[in-house]
Amino acid sequence: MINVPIGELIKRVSERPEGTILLSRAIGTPEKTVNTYRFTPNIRGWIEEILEKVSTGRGGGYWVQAEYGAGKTHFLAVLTCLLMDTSKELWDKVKDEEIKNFRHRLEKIKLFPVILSLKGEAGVDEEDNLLKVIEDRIEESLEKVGLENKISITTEDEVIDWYKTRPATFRNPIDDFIRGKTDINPENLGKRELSQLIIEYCKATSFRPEITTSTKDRISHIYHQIQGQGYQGLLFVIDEFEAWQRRHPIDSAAYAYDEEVLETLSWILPKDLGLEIFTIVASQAPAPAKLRGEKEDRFTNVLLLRDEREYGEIVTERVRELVEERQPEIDQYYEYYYNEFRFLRSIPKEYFYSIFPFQPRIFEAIRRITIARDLPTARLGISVIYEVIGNSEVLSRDSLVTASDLMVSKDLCDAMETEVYREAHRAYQSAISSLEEYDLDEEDKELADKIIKTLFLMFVAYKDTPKALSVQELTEATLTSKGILKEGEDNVLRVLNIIRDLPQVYYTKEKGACFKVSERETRPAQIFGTTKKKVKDEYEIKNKWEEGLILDLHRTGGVGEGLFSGFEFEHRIERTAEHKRIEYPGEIIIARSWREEYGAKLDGPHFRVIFMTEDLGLDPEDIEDPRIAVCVPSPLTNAAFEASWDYLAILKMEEDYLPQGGSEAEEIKEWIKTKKRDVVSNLLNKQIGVYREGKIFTKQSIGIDSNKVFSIGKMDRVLDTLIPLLLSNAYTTFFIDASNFRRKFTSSEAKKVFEGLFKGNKSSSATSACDNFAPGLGLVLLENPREFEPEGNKVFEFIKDKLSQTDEIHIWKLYRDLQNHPVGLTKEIVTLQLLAFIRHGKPACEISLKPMNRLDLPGNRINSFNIPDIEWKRKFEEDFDILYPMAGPGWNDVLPLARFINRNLKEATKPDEIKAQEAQLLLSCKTISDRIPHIKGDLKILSDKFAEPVEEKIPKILEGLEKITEASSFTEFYSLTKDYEDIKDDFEIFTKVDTLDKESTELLNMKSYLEGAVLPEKERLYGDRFLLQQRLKLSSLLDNPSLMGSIKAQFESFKTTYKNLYQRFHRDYFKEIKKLREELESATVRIEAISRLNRITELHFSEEKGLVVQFQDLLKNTEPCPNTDPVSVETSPLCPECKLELTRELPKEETKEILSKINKELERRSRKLAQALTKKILEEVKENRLNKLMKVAGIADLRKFAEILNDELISLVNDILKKANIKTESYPVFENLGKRYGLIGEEKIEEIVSAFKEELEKAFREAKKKHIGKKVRISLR
Amino acid sequence: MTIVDLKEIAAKFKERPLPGRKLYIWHGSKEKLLGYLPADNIRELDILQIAPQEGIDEPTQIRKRVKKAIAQKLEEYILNLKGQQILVVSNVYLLARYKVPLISLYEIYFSDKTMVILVVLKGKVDIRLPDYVSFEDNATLKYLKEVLPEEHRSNVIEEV
Repeated sequence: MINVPIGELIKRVSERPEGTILLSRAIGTPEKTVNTYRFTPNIRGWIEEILEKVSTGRGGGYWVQAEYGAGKTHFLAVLTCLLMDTSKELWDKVKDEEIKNFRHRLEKIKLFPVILSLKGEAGVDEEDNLLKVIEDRIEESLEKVGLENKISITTEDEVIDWYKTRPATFRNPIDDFIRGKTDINPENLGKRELSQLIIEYCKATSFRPEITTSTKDRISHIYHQIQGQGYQGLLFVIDEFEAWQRRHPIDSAAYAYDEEVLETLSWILPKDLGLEIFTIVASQAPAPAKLRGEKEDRFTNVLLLRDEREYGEIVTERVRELVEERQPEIDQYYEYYYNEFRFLRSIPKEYFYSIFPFQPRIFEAIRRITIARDLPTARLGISVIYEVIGNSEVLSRDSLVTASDLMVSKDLCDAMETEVYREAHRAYQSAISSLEEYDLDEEDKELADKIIKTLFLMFVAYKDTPKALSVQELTEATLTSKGILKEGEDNVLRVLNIIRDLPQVYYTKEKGACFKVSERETRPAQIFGTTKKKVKDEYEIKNKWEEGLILDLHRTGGVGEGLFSGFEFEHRIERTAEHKRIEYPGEIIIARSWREEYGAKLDGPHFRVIFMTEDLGLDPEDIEDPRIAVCVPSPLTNAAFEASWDYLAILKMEEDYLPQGGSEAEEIKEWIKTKKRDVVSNLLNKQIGVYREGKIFTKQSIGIDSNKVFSIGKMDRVLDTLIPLLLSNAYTTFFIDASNFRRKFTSSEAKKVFEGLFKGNKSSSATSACDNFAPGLGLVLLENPREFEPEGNKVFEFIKDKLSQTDEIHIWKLYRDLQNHPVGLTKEIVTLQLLAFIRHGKPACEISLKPMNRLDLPGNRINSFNIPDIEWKRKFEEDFDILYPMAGPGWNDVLPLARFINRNLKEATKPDEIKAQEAQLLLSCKTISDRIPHIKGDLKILSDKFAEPVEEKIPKILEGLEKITEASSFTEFYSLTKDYEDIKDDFEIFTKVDTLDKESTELLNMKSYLEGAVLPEKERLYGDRFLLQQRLKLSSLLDNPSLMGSIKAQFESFKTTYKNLYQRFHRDYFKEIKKLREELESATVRIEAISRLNRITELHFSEEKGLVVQFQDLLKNTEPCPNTDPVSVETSPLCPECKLELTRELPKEETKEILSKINKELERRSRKLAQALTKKILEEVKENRLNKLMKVAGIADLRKFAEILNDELISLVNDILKKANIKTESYPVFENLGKRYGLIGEEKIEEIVSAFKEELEKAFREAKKKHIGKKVRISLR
Repeated sequence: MTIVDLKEIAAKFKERPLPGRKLYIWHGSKEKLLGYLPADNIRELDILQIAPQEGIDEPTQIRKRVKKAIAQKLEEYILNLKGQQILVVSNVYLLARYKVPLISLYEIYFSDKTMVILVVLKGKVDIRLPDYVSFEDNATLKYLKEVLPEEHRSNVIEEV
């Protein structure tokens, strides 16, 4: 906050600024006029432009347009002063360095000023036109500078000038005419009368005098005359043009003529004739279109006061000066408001200084108000602001001046009494006076006052286009800063919600706040009052009181909660309360009537509190348990009754207006919303009082002070006070030392302690619970709170005592005794203690569990050993049945048997140790149990592979062991093994079998490898393998699994040698194969040629399928192995790709044989082809390729023959042979001959020849018979 | 406006300067008006008294002279102004008769400390006029309403 009042930071100008600037008077006091002028950036720009134009001698027109009070007259006056007087004395008064620079440029320019304000102007000599007024004013101006008789201005002047400059011969007839008409000498006549008579003479004689007639000529004529008197140009300054223009309606002749005059001045004469005429017109209205020009190039439109900022700067400048040495404090103001509010975020710091000490919205309000034409003056703003900062209260404040401060101005208040604002002003006054009716504190009242003033001013400022303000805008406008607890906006909203009951204040969240003049017929408050009277019914009011007690936040609209919010009448609600660092469960009932059950003994809950809604005369005898309290209220106070009545009324009003529509109804609904909040708030505030004044009943009438219990109106606090009082009276026997608890013991802590002590839970929550509670519970030693070691535990003593009296105890009785008064342990503590007692094992006890329990413990009982197996669940203690001393073998009894299974097991006495040993035993059993099915399966596979049966006893032993290893506790193990014979031997056999089984995979691999390796008998390895296989017998290995080591070594040695052998063989074999394959592949063309020759049908070649198949088979057998050498035979004895065995031989002979066959067959066929294609045929055909083929055939070059022979040639041969009509037929001539003559001697040559001839002839005969009409050839092959 | 409004304004004006140009037209007798106004703020301006007395028969000249005379008088008043001043202008009919503009008021006299009341007598002709004579009894008011700017032309207070 700032602590410097604004009055110390500013100095109001000594002289009240004149609200009314008159052009002549302002020009008449140039120093004051210039000195008080604020050159805003916008204004500076315009003045510079005009001065620049003057300094460069370019005439033109400017149309200064702005609303009333915008400073047009001051602008004209300053400009005129500066142009008329370029003295240093005057220009030094200019508060703008840039403007000052123009002085030298203007020094030598002398303009003749024609200044006129048209307000109050009446026209001249019946001629109501602007030119006449201007002429009149030029005359006056000339008179002021002593040139009145040297320049002719008006038409009369010109006519008289013309008349006077005529020669006497011309003038005498005119004089005679005048004398004849008037009987007066012309020199005695007035100017106007004389000029009229001259014109009359001219008309009568049809003579046209040489005078100017057009506006252009007339002004130009005047201009030149004035220029002749030492002036460089003319300056026309015309103020209040709108006042003049209003007298001349648009489209009237006068209007058009005025336009022409201004157009001539501003455009025609400067542009067409280059005259230095500067015309500056000020008007509220914009320049007519004609004067602006089509290209906006005639009158330049000068816009003053672009916005509120400029206005603010000007007004502030006129009314105050800043105290320079207090600039740091002003900076402080800036910092404060910049940080606290938003309005400074969007404006430059310099602007803040230029309008200090004002909040910017003040200018928006006053400017918009003062431009309204119905106010007595447009310049009211300056006066008002001046008045405001003359107000001592305003000056004494250390905050900026806001819009609401404007209302201290008498001038503004007077203005508000003008007709147009009177009604609104009266409404405003009514609203302000109504504030007295509200119960507002000083601060709120002040804020309400500000809000109303601000809204009223904005209403007036935006009368035609109403504008509402948001809460944020209103906060900024009123500069409501944040309080200790609330933001500024919250405060504004709160107060706004209160005062919107006023008919003048309208507010909705969506639309914002605004001022309204139209009064509602009836105010909502009045309606509320009427409704309240209507609903006065004590029963209903009592009902609403009771209803109010259980109101929740939703129903109160967030205002608050009823004392018993969250409760229902006559319903038990579970609650917890802390007493002596223990959280106790209990129940709360809100009762409208008393029931017997409310006073009945507690079973489970540790307390019961009944809050009656009214005093029904309770008898304390009805209370059976000292842990029950009944709170009875006092009768309703008047204030409480009134609050309840208000609540009833507002609900009724809300109900009434719910279906109603329309703006007024909507406004009332909004009011109801706000009012309801107040009513509900008041109702809630009254509730605690009646209980504070009431009574609290208990069984033992322990005298609880209701004032103390209900000292704070919060249910939790009430219970926090009441319940410890109840319980401290009821619980007087202490089995645990809760004072040792480090914090509150809640029900969930018991589980954490249990898990920390008994289940090895090392989480932070469990260990922390042990640290905090276990010592107090007597379960651990203080120095080691995480280790279960009970000492002096009174609960244990209590249980032991009970056990000493009986063989078994029903658990529910224990709970009853320990939970009820005077012990008062919670259920969870009892459970924890009970389980700890069992775990402790002194004496060893068990708890039998009820059938269908959820604990899932073996044997359905809890004992010292399975405590850690217990899952602490909700209500699991309900499954506990009976506590009794435990019987059965101890661990050390079981140990001799158990050690057959696990030799490492040791003796143990403590539950933890026993449990650990048992766990080891069970783990060993589990391991064995898991192994047995695998062993069985593996033995079967080994037996099959080795083709050896397994001894019969082994499966039996496995089955026996399988049973005993399924035990789930050491006692069960004991019962299963105590009668088992030869357990020692059986377990030894199992161990051997198990050992071998673990090697079974390797065993199988060795066996398979050896079997798969194909070795030539000649190889030394062949014998090695034999010996190894002899050693690899399943029966001997089962007897002595240790043999596996040496067998494995022997196998590895075998494999190493074998591998080397195999890799070499593989490499060499395929090297040779490759060669053979190449040979075969080279024969492929030939075998294809053989097949191709089959297609020469005339030659009848057999297909030779066998040869082709044989060839292809051999090709396949000589494929290379895809594996690269050296191949791996690590896991398998053969190359996995080619499966090459060491005994396989190369197909060398087969290859040789097939190649020979191919060659022979091809040779045979080529020869036959050659025979068929005779020399004669070949000559006829003249086919080179064929000749080449036959040439090759002739030299028996089979390779070339096969290469040349293609399908095309085959086709050609077929065609040739068909054309030759020759059929070649094979015939077994020699075969037949051979049959007839096996061996022949020399003497039978002739006979043989004869027989040969016979055979040939026979062959031809048969061939011809077969091929009738064909030439036949017999093939002897 | 009513005399009540005027009296209220005059009373405020007596207390403090009031911003703006304040001009009212009193349609009634000057004496009655003066009776309503605070005497110590009054300054009277009789147009007839300041109008040139020597014979000028040309209306243009009369207009100019009267206008000038008024301007001079107003200059004098404004120069000597001390505190608030209510200028009661009588014989206003002369202004209407010679179409004398009221610009002097607007150019010279008006200020926050000045107020002008133009007294326009209610025209009464006791004698019977010849038929060819038409008497326009509201000519002055009509002129003033024509010449005065909008902000002032309706500020007419009728004597009742």
